[in-house]
Amino acid sequence: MEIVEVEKLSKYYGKTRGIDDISFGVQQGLIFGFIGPNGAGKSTTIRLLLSLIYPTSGQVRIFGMDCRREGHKIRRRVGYIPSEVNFYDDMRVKDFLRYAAAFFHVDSQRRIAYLCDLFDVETEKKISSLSSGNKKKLAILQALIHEPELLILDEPTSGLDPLMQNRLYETLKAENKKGVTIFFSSHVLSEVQKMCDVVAILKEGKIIKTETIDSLRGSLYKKVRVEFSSPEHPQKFTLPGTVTASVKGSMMEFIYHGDMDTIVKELSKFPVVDLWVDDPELEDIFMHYYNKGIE
Amino acid sequence: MIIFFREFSRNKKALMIWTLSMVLFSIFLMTFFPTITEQADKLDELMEQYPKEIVEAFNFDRLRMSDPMGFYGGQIYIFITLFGSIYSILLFSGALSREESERTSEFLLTRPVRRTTVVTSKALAAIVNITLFNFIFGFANVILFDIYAKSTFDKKILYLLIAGPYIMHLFFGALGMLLSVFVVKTRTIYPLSIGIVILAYFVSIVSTLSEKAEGLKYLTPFKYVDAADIVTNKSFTDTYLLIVLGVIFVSILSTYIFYNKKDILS
Repeated sequence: MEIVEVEKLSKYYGKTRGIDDISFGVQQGLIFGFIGPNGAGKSTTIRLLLSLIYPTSGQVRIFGMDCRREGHKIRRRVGYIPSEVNFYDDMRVKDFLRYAAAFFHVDSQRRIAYLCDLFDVETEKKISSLSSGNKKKLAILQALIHEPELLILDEPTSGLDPLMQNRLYETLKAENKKGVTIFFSSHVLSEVQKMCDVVAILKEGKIIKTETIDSLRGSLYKKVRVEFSSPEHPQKFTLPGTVTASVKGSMMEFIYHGDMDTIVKELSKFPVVDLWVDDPELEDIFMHYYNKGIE
Repeated sequence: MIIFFREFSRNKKALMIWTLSMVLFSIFLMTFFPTITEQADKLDELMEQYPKEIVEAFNFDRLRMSDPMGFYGGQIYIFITLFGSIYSILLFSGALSREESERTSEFLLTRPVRRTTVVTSKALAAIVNITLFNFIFGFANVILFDIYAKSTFDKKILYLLIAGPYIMHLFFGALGMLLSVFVVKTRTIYPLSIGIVILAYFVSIVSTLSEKAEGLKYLTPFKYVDAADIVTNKSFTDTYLLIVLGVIFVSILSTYIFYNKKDILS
């Protein structure tokens, strides 16, 4: 069953494009990755899902209900982590959490205590005195209080330290196991690859590809930098699946799209001085898709 | 109810400060009243020295300082209408715009509530707020006049002079709330709101001064509940009351319609 159904959705701000004719569905129980560079339309889509803004054309349905007319009923079952956190500066953390929970008419004292403990949140502090990382943790907490069936996350790990990032990943996995559907928007490819079952790739307001994580795993993208012992080696080194190669002396840099084992075996045929393997910038990947699109 | 209480408690401090300062100001003005009544003749002489236009602009021809209601209408009334209206329009125009300006509307509107509920709760909180403000201020003045002027005046006029500003505050409040749907930055909406009240005040003075500009009186709520009119007629003017009710109704209705349609941008 599809929890989120998006049909031919467009949003224009005057003449400026937000998103243009997007359609997709999110199956119940899945973690749905939504990835694209800044300005691709991720936040626009999320704001449409939450009916903070209204579509220029097209339709959004969540739990089978229309977002525009029944938004308030939908939001009872949705938790949302914003990318930029803006809460009431004059409130204390505990008062804010009580306020946030009051809207859902659930007895949440134990849940709040549990979550505060899990994410190491100090409840006596004023919100204005929190660092951006701590505000983000608070945003995570308020999204989980009422045990929503659907989580909508907009860059949920931005501003979090690695320890808290991992705690969030674990928490999300655990929620997902309980049956919670997760809509996970991010521009960090590796976390989407790690977390999600399905990934939709967004560019300039359009979805250019929807892939299952299995096919993405099969086609791992890595940014590789190799220092060979001699400037001749880069010329000789060829491998299917390398894109945008650049060579400077004995240094070679390229995006690799394929099996990790293959590249290690190929490289081992040369004397390698140094080797860096990184997650590529998303832009690089998009260039790859974009070029393919033009062909 | 959750939003109502949050909104009310958020505005509690401002309510206390505004109410207290206005009441203290009344008390301060009233302490002059006994001296003024003693020297009533001299004062009336003094008034004759002023240019006719000034006397008319401030209604000193119809509001005699030595008369308790003339004193209220000429002195205290101007402060409760002018400053009270500024307080009211800031209160109402801040209700929705402050959330947007501080970007907390994203949190508020992702709660399981209709936007209609948000507007209703916030409007009600502001209405209760401004009602308390007027009630306490009015009550304090009833007591003050009991002390300083005994029963030398018509109580009905005092009640009308207390109700008049309240109507005016609601008028500006409704207008401010509608405005705040379109102008969301607090640094823009607050000066704009204050400007509207002050402009309306000057329009009322101009409309009294110049016979050519008399038609302007329909544009400003300061004329709708003019103290001199109330003291002279011992009632409100029906035409003006209809305008006030009409403007309030249209403003509130439009606030609901436009707030429900608008995009909340990040």
